[in-house]
Amino acid sequence: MQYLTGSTKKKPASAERGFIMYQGPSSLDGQPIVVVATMTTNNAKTGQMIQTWILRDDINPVEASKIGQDSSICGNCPHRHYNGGACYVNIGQAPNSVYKGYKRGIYPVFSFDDHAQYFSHRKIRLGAYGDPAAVPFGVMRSIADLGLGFTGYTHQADHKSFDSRFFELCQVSADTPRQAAKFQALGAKTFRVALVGDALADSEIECLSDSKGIQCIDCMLCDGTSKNIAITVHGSRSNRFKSNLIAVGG
Amino acid sequence: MKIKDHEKVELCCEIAFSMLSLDGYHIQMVTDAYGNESYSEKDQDRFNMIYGVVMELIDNARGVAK
Repeated sequence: MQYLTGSTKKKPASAERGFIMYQGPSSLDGQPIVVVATMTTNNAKTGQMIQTWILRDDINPVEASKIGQDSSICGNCPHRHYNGGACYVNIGQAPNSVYKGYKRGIYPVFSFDDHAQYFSHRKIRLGAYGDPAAVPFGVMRSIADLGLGFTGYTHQADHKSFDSRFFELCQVSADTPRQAAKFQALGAKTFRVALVGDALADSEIECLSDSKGIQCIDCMLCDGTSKNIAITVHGSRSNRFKSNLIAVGG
Repeated sequence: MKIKDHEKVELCCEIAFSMLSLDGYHIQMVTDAYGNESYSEKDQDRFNMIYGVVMELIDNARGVAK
């Protein structure tokens, strides 16, 4: 006689909240960092993309931002809060929560054989917080290749340790039209943050999420190779951005 | 007619937006703390659904053209 054995299927994708994708030195300054991929998000702009968080392994992100040790994961980004910048990430919320979860041990270390299925039908955002270029290129390339598509942004094109292969994965962030033109000449696709009323260059289109209401998960043009994009910054942030432009832009 | 990928995305957005408000439906927008405007959750879902259908139709039409 045979008996029913029940399902032998692997756990559904929702069973794991995330995975540790990398633990090791930062490509930017050699300090310990960690990359955590989380499976769900409340981010209405991106939609339900897998989010990757690039954090200092040894310092809480709020503290790291306060004392400037976030340079391991944000490099020389002018929008770091430590520099008085206008970074839109609320570090006290998602990055802090992911870091605490990581320290509590809720995320298993990623294994391709056991966990690739969680990524195979999903789109991935490289660097929901932290710069993808802080992670060795091979690691980030492997993460990007796990899913159906990816988006990513780097502000490290001028960093001395920048690996130019990240042009294949990331839009290069630019703060001025001149900077954008410079990076485009190097072969990069740019993501330029502008103020309302600024002119759009011929080579650029306006961020479709901002202008058309589409979510990143449906657009996916910010993959480093498709198009130069410009987005406007609004409200209180724009004031800080403007002063930041004066201080940093060139 | 050949269009680039970003033009296809833009076209689908335009069609989805037009269909969203076709019958006089009032689109609800929300504004975040930074002044960024976006659809309400309900309208974003509706937009996404229409966008998905339009994109699929266009992709299929492209397939037929080949």
